Parts: sequence; structure tokens; C-alpha cells
Amino acid sequence: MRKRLGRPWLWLALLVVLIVFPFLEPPIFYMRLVSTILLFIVLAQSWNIIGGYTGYISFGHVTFFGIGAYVAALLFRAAGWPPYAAAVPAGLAAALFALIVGFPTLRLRGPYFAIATLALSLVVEVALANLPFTGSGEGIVVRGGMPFTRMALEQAFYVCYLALAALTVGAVVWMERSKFGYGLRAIRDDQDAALSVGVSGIRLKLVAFALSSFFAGMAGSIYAHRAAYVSAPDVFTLDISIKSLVYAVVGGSSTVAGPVIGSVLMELLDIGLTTSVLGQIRIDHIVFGVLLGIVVLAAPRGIMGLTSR
Amino acid sequence: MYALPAVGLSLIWGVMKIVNIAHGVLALLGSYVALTLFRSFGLDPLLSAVLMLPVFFVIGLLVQRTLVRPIVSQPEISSLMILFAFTIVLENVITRVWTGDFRAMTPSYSGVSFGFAGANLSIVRTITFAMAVVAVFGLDAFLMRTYTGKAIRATAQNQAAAMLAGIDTDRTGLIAFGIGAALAGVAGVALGLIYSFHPSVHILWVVKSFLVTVLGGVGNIRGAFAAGLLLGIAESFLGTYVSFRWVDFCIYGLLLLVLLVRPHGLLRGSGA
Amino acid sequence: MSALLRAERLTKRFGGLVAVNAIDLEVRAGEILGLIGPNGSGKTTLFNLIAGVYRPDTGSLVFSGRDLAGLAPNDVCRLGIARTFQLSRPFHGLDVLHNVAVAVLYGNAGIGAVRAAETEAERLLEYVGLGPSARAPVSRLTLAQRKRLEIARALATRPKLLLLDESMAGLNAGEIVSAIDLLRRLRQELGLTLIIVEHLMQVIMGVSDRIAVLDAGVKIADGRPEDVAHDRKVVQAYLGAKYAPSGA
Repeated sequence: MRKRLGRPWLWLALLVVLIVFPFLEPPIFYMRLVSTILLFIVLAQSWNIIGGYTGYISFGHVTFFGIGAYVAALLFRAAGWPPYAAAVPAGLAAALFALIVGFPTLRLRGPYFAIATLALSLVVEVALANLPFTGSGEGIVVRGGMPFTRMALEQAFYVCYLALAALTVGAVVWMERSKFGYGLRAIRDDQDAALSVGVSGIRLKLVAFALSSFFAGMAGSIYAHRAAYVSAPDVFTLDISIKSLVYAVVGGSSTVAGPVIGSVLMELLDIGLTTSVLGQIRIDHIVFGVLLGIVVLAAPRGIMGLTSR
Repeated sequence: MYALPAVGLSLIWGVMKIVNIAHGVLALLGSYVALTLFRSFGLDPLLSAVLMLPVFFVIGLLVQRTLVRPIVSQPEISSLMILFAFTIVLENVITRVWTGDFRAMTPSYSGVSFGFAGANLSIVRTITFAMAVVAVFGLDAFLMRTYTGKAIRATAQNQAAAMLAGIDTDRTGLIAFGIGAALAGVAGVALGLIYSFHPSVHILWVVKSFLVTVLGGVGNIRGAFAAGLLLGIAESFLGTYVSFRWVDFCIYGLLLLVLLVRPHGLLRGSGA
Repeated sequence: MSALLRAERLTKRFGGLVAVNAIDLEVRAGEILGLIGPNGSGKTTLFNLIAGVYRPDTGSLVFSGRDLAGLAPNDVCRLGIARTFQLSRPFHGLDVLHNVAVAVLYGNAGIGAVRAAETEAERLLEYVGLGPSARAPVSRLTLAQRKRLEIARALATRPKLLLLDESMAGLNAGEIVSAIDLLRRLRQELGLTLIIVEHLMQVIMGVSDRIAVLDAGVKIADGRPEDVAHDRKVVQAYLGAKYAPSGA
């Protein structure tokens, strides 16, 4: 299935619109909304690398997001690094951690890997919350280092998120047509058969895991500055792991557009549900769960799968 | 104390080869229902526990029928996902119905302890322990003595062979799930008596049950019981030496270690 | 003639069961070796040992002078051994072309660019007769076509030795004839050495240069088809079913 990107000009136009958007000085609420959607595009798309294309479903994606956030916070506290400078080291730290824990965990089979990543997120959360240099449960304040006017601040963060989203999506686009991407999908479809034709399972999986974590870590670092305060229980929410997974799967894992569409639709849905009357009864996660269930039962390829029939 | 939920998890895992991540939230449901029965009707939690058995059995059947069976042919991860979806939904339903506050069940005897062989034992813990023992031994007897029980064990060992022997593996899986859910419900009551609970705690519970199951050997009921005891003791032990925050860390870390070091079900080498 | 593959006292146990019991086997370059035996006699286990899926408990396994023991399947592939699976295992998420292209990219073809790999994959598909189906999803293939795909994928890794595990199971008579033809071409045109496992006696007797017979993990016969067919132990193992080699 030669998946061309659909209509490249459509994506390009979208990109242009997104770039211009913040400089039109729209209401802050909308800027924040798009920023948040962009953040989840990064999270879902990065999850997609290991969860969708490689077939190793992770329940602990937030681990790397959180590590990125902490690294950025520490860099700020120690040396005043602003978000765009801290992003790369944060991403690298997360990727490094992924390589270390990936080595033993990627040997596990599907469900076990999933639970292991879940346990991992819990372990790392407790560790980071309680280590002395990470605030011992009080968190780290990350304020300053950014422009002061509200609009400029929002614009700056928006641009950061947009750049990161473009980078992540672009990486997956490249990956899909590369030798690496085909190897990953072979592993996803049948690891033993993949090995039999020379695919080095462990190497590819590690790279995918590290790549996935790299982007998540970078997202975390920007988030740290945006939230201005980093403390483990707030950052390491299972919520983020869930959203990364659900957005990618409902949108269509193993596709480029899937996580993007999933993030946009689901996040809007989420906002809509929480701010409307229904928000009183916290129906948003229930809807997520139901949608996930429907996807697994009836539409394994998510929204993208429905549209490509 | 962790033996109870772990036993149910172990059973489902062993028979259906499914990791029931919803196990924790099912138990939690049991806790909340018992709480309501206690608060509103004054029904003693222990009696609720008995009531739970058939109710949760049916719930388990329903879940299995509607969610799990349709995707039996899909890779294992799909069942995990669907149960995960169910978990998300149920957790949020619970939050909606009972709010996110911390709760505890405190029947009249909950604060009382008595002296026994020189140690101070709380009545609650003793009773829940007794519940666990009864449940586990009951299950054990069921698995060993009854036809259905043996059918379950056979299916767990080798599904294909069981089918050839005329066992309706579909039904066995269903029943196993029902039993597992029933045990989860009861476990929830027990856990609710000992610990305070809130809507998100089920993840902790299921992770710990997971640990116990793996330690005791997947599908091994007696092993799960022994491991559950061990974990409970270890936890209390650790609690006296290490700051409470790090106890959980050790538990999760242990789970990770066990998962990584112990090959279970994976490497039986049934190659092409 | 030097042995391309040599197994000496190769043994593999699973718990209490000895699946492969001290087997000595030699495969010479350019020959077609047939491997037969009742179900459970250890044929697939032997394949898995050679392919690196299992690690032998004792004994040695040497291919072109290289020790195979302990190598991972992908390393074994790199050395020049390819295999097909008893129940075909395609990559369902990729189309037919890319099933083979992956093998081109990661095998020994020395091609690292996707475009070039796709071209090579097309060529291979033509060779096995699947040209027209290149862009189809795997789900649209018939059983016979899937078997062809397995072979094309294995060929893509430029092997010297090819292990074919029941590549004719489930085929009808016409398909079998084509399959035999393909096997012969593999040896003739590509110079491959083949080890084939089949349950179709007439086929394997007709195609193989040499036959090895396994029973309960032990090699009970090894020689030319005519000789093996009349070997008393072999006949006994198959409960009296006796097949004379048919024609050429």
C-alpha cells in the first residue's frame, strides 16, 4: 500500500496557517488550545513510533515526558536555560534512559512490555519525587527566562510546540518510507519472521524506543517551562500515558496522519466535554475509554482505517 | 492480603492467557459497593463480601462475553487494550458516582485488636486473612475436585489438547473469568476494610497483584497465595525501615525486576 | 565434496523431551536433501536449530566453516541460510512487494535503498510467478501464492542454503507440479542447496538427491531415495507404508 501523504499541498497549507496563526494575535484561549493540541500531537506521534509502527504498546509514555520535564527544570535551576535550549538535552536524557531500560524490557512480549512500562512510570515517578536534588516532593519552580508580555509568552510557547510537532511528524514521515520503518513494521507483524530475513530485532526496537522517548522528552521540557512548576505527581500522570495511547490508536496507529487527527479530534472532544454541562460528571475519560474499546473491537486501524477503505 | 486479588488474576491469566488489567478496578468497585451497603444499609462488609460473589461472577461473565471473547483471535495485546479501556471507563464511572474523596470502611470492629501469642493483631486483618484463606482453599478445592475445575486447569495447561478432550474451552474461559471477577469483588471488600481507597488506587492494586501473580507463578493458585502473604509481610517490614514513600518504589522496582528476569510463558520455544 | 552444513551429535531437549537426539547430518553444496519422518520426529526442531531459533544443548553445527551454535536468527540469515515456515508467516501490514523488499533490505543483497529494494523485490516476485500480485495486500493471496511469497522472501536474502518447511502442504496437484519445478530451478539456476521437509512421499522421493529419515529425534536412515525407501527401519517407522521413488 503505497501510502503517499495524501495531498502534500494540504499539509503545507496547514503548516502555513499554523505558522501565521499566533502572529495574528488571536485570543489567548485559542492559542493555548492549539498549543495543547500540538503538544498531544507530539506525544501521540512519538508514542506511535514504538506503539504503532513497532507494535510494542507502551502504557508508560509519560515516563519520558516526565524525565524531559525534570531535566529542563534542573537545567533551569542550575544554569537558567530557557526551553528551546533545554529541549535537546532533555530529549537526549529521555532517550538515554529509554535505551537503558529498553534493553531488558523490549525482550518482553506485548502485554508484559505494556505492564512493565506502566510499572516503570510508577517507579520513576516515585524516584523523582523523592530524590533530594529534585525537590523532595516539593517540585522545582521554573519561572522566568522567557518574554514577559502574555501574548509574547504564548506566542513563544506556541512556536516551540509547533516546531516540535512539525519535527515529530516529519520524522515519522521519513521513517515510514525508510528501511528502518519497514524493518519496524516487519517486527510488528511477525518478529520471528523478521528475524529470519535478517532484521536485527533488538537493535531496531531500541532505536525506535529511544526515538519515541526523545520526542516525548523534548515535549516535557517545553511543558516544564510552560507550567512553570515541575513536581512528580503532577507531571507523571497516568492521564498523559493514556492520552498518548488513546489519541494515537483512535486516530490510527501505524499511520502518519492518525495521531494528528486523533489528537485534534480527541482533544477538542475533551475540551468540549469538560467545559460543557457534561463536564460536571467527568464524562470525558469515560468517552475515551469507550472510544478505545470501540476501536479495538471494531476498527483496529482507527479513524484512518475507516477512511482508507 | 494481596493474595486474594492475585489469586483471581492468576486464574484468569492462566486460563485465558489474558492479563486482566481491569482486575484492580473491579476490586475497587467491590470496595465502593460494600461501602455504600455499609453506609446506607448498615450491612456489614463481611456479609457484603458474600453477596459480592455471585454479583461479580455475573459481571465477570458479562465482561468476558462482550469485551474479551470477540477478540480472542487477535493478538494478546488487544485484550489488554480492551480491558484497559474498560478500566478507564469504570474508574471514571466510580469517580462520578462516589466522588474522588478518600474513603474507608469502618465497621465497629475496625479499630479493635486483640492479643494473640504475644502479638497485637487487628481484628480486621485477621478476618480478611481468614477470608483470603477460605477463598483460596475453596478455589483450590473447586479446581481439584470438580469437573469444571479440572476442565479449567486442563485448558490452562494446553488449550488445544483440552479441546480435543471434549472440553468446551470457550465456556471454561468464561467461567474462569467469572470466578476471577468474583474474587476481585471480594478482594475489594477486604482491601477496603484495611486500607483507605480512592478512585485511582486500583492501578496500585493491580500492579501489586500482578507482582504476586508473577512471583507465585502464573496460573498457580497456591503459589499466588504464598506470594501474596510474602508480599504483605515484606511490605509491613519495609515500612518500618524505609520511609513510606520509598516502599512503593521498592514494590514497583521489584515488579520490574521480576518481569525482566523471569521468563514466563514467553520462551517455551514453540517456534514455527 | 565438502559439506556445506555439518551437524554432529546435535541434541535439543525441552524439559524431559529429547526432540533432537545426537543427530549427525551432512549437507553437500548444491544438493537437495529431503528430510522425512513421522510427526513429532524432530524435523521442525532441527530446522529451528539450524536457523538459530533454538540453541543446541550439545553437539556442533557448522556452516561453511562457521559455527552456528548460539547465533541469533538474523545473524544466521546473514551467513547465508534462509528458511520458510511451515504455516506461512507473511507481514500482514505490508503489501506483497514490501514483504519481499524488507528481506532485500535486511538480507545479504547489499541493497540499502528502499527504491532499489522494491525493484529487486519485483524481480524476485516475477521469478516465483507472483509478479501481478506485487501491490496486493497479503490477505488476497491464495495458499499456493503465500507459499511462493515465503520462498521469494527467503530468496531475497541471497542465501546459499534454503530450508523449506512443508512448502507444498495444502497444494493441489497442479500447484504441486509448479512447486516442484520451482525447486528444481532454485537449484539449477540459482545454485542453491536445499533441505526440504515434506509429507508427500512421491514428491520428496522424486525431487531429492538424498533422503534423511528421523524418528523420535533420531536419524534412522540417510541415503539415496531408493535405498531409504526399502530400509526396514524406515518402513517400520511409517507403519508399513511403502513408497518406491517415482521416475526421475
